[in-house]
Amino acid sequence: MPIYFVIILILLGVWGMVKKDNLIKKVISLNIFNSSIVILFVYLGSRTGSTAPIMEERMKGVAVDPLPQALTLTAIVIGICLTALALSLILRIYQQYKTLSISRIEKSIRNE
Amino acid sequence: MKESEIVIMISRKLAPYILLFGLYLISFGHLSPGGGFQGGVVLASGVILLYLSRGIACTQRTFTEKKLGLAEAWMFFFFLLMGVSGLIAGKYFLGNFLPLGKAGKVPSGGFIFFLNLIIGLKVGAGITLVCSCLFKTAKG
Amino acid sequence: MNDLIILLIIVPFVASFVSLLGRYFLHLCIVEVTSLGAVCLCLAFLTVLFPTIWEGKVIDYSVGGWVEPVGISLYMDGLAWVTSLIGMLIALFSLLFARGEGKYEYNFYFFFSILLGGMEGIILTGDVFNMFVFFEILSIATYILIAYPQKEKSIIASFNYLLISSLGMGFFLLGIVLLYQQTGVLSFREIARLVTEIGRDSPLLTLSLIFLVVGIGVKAAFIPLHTWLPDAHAYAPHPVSAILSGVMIKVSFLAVWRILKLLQAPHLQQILMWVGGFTAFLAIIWAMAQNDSKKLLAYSSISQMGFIIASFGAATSLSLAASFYHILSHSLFKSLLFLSVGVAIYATGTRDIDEMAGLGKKMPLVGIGFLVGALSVSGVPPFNGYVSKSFISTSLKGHPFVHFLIFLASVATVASFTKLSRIFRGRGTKEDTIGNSHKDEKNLSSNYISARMDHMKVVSRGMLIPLIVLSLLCLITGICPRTLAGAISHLLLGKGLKPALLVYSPSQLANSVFILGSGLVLYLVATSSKGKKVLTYLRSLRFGLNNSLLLIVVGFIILVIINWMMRGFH
Repeated sequence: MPIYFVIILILLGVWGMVKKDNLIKKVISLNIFNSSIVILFVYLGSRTGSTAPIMEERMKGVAVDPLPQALTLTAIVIGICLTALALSLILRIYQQYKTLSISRIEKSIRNE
Repeated sequence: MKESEIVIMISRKLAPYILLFGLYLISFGHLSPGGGFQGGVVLASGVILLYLSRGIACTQRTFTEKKLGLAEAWMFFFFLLMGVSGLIAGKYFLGNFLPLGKAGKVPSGGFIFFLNLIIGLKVGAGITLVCSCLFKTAKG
Repeated sequence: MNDLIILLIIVPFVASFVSLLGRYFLHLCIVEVTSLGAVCLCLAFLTVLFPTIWEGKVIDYSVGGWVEPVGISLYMDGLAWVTSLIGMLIALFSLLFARGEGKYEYNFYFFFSILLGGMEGIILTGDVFNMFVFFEILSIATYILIAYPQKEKSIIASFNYLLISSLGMGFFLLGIVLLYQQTGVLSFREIARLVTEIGRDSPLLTLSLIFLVVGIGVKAAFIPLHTWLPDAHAYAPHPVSAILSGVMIKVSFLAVWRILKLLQAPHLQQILMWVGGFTAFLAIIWAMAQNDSKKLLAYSSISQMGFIIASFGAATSLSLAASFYHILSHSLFKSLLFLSVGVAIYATGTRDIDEMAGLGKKMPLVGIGFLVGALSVSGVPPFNGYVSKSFISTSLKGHPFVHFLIFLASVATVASFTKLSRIFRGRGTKEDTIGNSHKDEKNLSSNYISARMDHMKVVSRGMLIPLIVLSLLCLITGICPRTLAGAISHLLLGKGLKPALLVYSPSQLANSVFILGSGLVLYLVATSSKGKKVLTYLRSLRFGLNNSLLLIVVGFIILVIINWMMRGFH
């Protein structure tokens, strides 16, 4: 059942990237897309057990799968780098065109 | 944005604790949730609190861009150095060559502790530098 | 010996560290020499590794000492060796050109070295998530390098590329999620072993493969996913365009090659043949319509990638060797073309074909370099384009419609490069391009052009050396095709080619002459007034950012539907 919610989140992220006009909303949708893929990954890996996969003197109970959690970290770091880069590019675009709407920017490019 | 006295006073008292918490997350990374990247982001958020409360120009006199850039570059070098030292000593890149301690205490896990420390400092410096540049262009 | 593989990835990163630190207290010359030295060191490693690879052994290396299913391992087989060689050669020439052009700062060399390190990582890795990480490293370096000139068109091109490529990489990550959920391991060898147990036809496995292929296909210029490429390659600086068009799209395609070879999906390979045919045909039609010289070259890159993809899809051993031969020759002549057009743009300061006309007299060496590149891409006999194109058309003889599309694409390639060669021939007036020109307008424009010629910048020797060496390499790889093709086939597949294959036979030569003739006829048709109207209409069709992203989703859905129809059940 919760997997349908995650799939709806992924589709929301894609829809936001395609349909929104404001550049910053596109970057927010990219973040939603990346985060929801990562949630799907951790959810699919967490169904095996119940405790954290850290080894003390003895393991108490069955641990969840640690591999998706490591991959999640990497994907989050990459997402942060992309967001920082996209925001600095948007800053330069705004200084040049004085608008954040992609349709107006494309119209002014077409009219040059 | 005009900063009020209460915000400046509380953030001055709170920022060292945030930095300490970041260092805790980094060094206990192999025993509890946390690790290099998470601790580094908390370190950066401590400095960003100082940016927001005391003003950008004032904080940039302490954390200058040159110092942050040099910290980031040298941490990159130390990471490559640890990897290559694993290559020389233990015959594999990023291979472990320090003794493993008892499980559940801080010195266990070989050189993961040092890798966490290097990555934490690099990420902290990096994200602070990014936010410093973004704030600077916003002001001017 | 095994350590040399990991050093191939570490050495570019060490060079990038030197560039990062050099901003504070080193001179720019030291940083340039360090980057060049790193590339030469990697080439030396590849030479040392050659005898072992030639015998057919696969060199294995586990990072950190952790064994295969638990840790990450790197492989070097013949495919990885040749790709690393191509990548390092083109990087060497691009760095020499950048050094000769002389307006690049420390940041440029830093990101260039990171690009090289990421590229090596993609080819050498044996783990699918590690490939994702190196893809992202490569992508972030290219976003910044494309936005390097900081003009508005470069920044918008980089931003479009960022959004489109991030959507693609998100699809790739979804593919990894589904693959991991089915097999439980992430390394290529283990997945290949487990796939034969699970059964190749399970629908979730095919769905994850399609996610992976669409994800990388965004970077490898398949047809509905190519919309970022013309702007990105055209508005980037010249050495960056050369290495993007020459190496990066090929390395992405080789990742698709590796995935499909290890996971063995013959339906998907057949669909790729059709995708390749349409890519080759549609992209070159757009190329003929362009007036901007670098955009024409970028569309031609997409079209030549179509040749490579179509030949890969045909899936016989001859077609695989032909596809790889075309990868090799295309990197050589496309970098040559980008660098020679780059010298022309640097000298005159404009990118429009008509404004740059008639440079052949002033810059004869650059003109010869461009001529070698244009003859190679059109498939004229002593150069390597002729060899690889005749291999490709021989191997596609069994599929008549795709063969016809490739033939049409070759004809249109000749036409568009005849149009591009207007830069170096002609007398430099705008008369034959504007439909109606009054007398004083003609005088005005020729005065304008000759005034521009007198203010041309001096071209330094550092920019000309890569052109000369690349032209010689194009000639050498075209003269002895049997030995080179045999070597490629031995490295890739472990066996030689069938001996009854003749490239310089009369039928192939007649084919090439026929294509050349039809191409010139097509060029004359396209420059007539009716042809110009059609081409102006084509040039005004541009995809906006929203529509480009929508095309990726639509392309993915079409691929799923076609795959479902080809298998007959879900």
